[in-house]
Amino acid sequence: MRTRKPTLIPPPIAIFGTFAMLLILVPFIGLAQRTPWGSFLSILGESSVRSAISLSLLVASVSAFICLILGLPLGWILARSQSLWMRLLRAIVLLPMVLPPVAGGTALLFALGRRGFVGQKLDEWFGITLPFTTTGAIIAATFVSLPFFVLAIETSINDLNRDFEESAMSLGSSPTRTFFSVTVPLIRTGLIAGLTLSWARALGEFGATITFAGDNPGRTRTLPLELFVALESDPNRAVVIGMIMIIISLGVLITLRGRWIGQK
Amino acid sequence: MNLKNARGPLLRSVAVGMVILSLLLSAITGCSQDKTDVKIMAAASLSDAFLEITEAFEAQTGLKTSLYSAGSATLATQIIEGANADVIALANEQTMDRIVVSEQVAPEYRIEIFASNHLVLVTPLGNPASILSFADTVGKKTAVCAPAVPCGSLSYAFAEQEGIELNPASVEPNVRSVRTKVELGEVDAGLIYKTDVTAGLEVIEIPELESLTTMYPIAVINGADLTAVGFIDFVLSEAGQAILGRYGFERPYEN
Repeated sequence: MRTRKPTLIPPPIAIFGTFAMLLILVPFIGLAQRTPWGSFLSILGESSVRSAISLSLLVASVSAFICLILGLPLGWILARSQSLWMRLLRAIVLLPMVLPPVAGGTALLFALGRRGFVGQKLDEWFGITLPFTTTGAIIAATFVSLPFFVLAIETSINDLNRDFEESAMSLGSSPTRTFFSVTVPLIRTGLIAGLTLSWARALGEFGATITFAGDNPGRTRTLPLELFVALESDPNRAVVIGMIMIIISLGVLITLRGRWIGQK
Repeated sequence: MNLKNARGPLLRSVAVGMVILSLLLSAITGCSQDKTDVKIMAAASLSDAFLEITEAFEAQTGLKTSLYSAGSATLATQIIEGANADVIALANEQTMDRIVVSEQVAPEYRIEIFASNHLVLVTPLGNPASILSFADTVGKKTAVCAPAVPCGSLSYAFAEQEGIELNPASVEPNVRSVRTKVELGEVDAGLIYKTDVTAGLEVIEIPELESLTTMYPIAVINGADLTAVGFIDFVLSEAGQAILGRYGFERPYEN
């Protein structure tokens, strides 16, 4: 690689960039300076906090796994299909990204709740009710995080040079085999970025979860819900839980970025 | 070496940046600084009654009010963290004590008790789980308020009094969200305030619940002016009490 002179940052970019950085940084500093570090470990050791942490990790990981299995095909379809209907469908699929999560939770409730049009049948036929269960929390988290994954896949496939796939097929590889042995390896950077994003989004999910899955300690009370509950009774606990979420998320972002995304 | 050339554009862009930022800030504060005379925070259970009270107060005095409702615990936390309000009305005295301890309540005015309320057991229409008593809720899906909010502390106190361990499917942040979960049929029963009962619910008569009341305190927040006291006087007046009565609130210390 050719060595370059250090980049000179144009002053307007430096100034506005600094303000942007401050806007994001200052709240975190606020949280850090309010953190009662002395009682950090004892709060971390509380059984309710530990159960919220493990539940959050479970919900986010299962949700990211579902995103991988369902979102990969969907991203491919959206990228490769040209029809007008697909474009409308694409807008709907991406809707949870911009929709307030509480609206998504309400929609889930009316579809999959005990009296929702699908939920009613689930209850009647299989005796399954989703609200107030961990499965419900996973569905809520997947609902909001899936579009992030689908978009990452779609973008990667759009950027892909189709020559590789076409030569694989001309050499007799089936479309399915081509997808798994040519397309997927080629988009692995986008795929991992999408997985990270959707995992992180699922980890922080609050609005859809509390609306659809309710607040059930041990079953649906993930870290964000635990934080919300703590804020009403013991702000110190809320601050510590916020710090825990930041540490987990930052850890994941740094590890993954350094390992796969930053270095192509 | 490069500094001389860089300084001109640097200063100019600092100036431009400051102008744009101050415009942005003034736009933001301009929006939030509407001419409100009394900013009121009220517990979720009070939201409908207080909406009518503020309208009547505005009609009588010509003053502008703003009303913000949430669970009492949420409101208390917001006030303790410095939220901008003049009057706060909560659903129990313990939560008000949290604010008093944090010295956010104006010490020169009395904290008044203006209403009382009690819980009822409600089910969705048709009572699908055939609940006839509080004991019937054991093993059924129930929703209650979180222990941190007044309706929750009442619910847990009642369960303890009855010797029944609450095992709710969902612990909700305020009484209105408990009501919604019951109305939608997501749970078989829930404990809500008598004043929150709607036509979409069935009430199961439990006399023991009626003796377990909660008192609603109202206080002036530090820095508020006399209009805040005027609003509290209005709540305590015949007109204010009549509105609260229509929503099912009882006069404090009456029974």
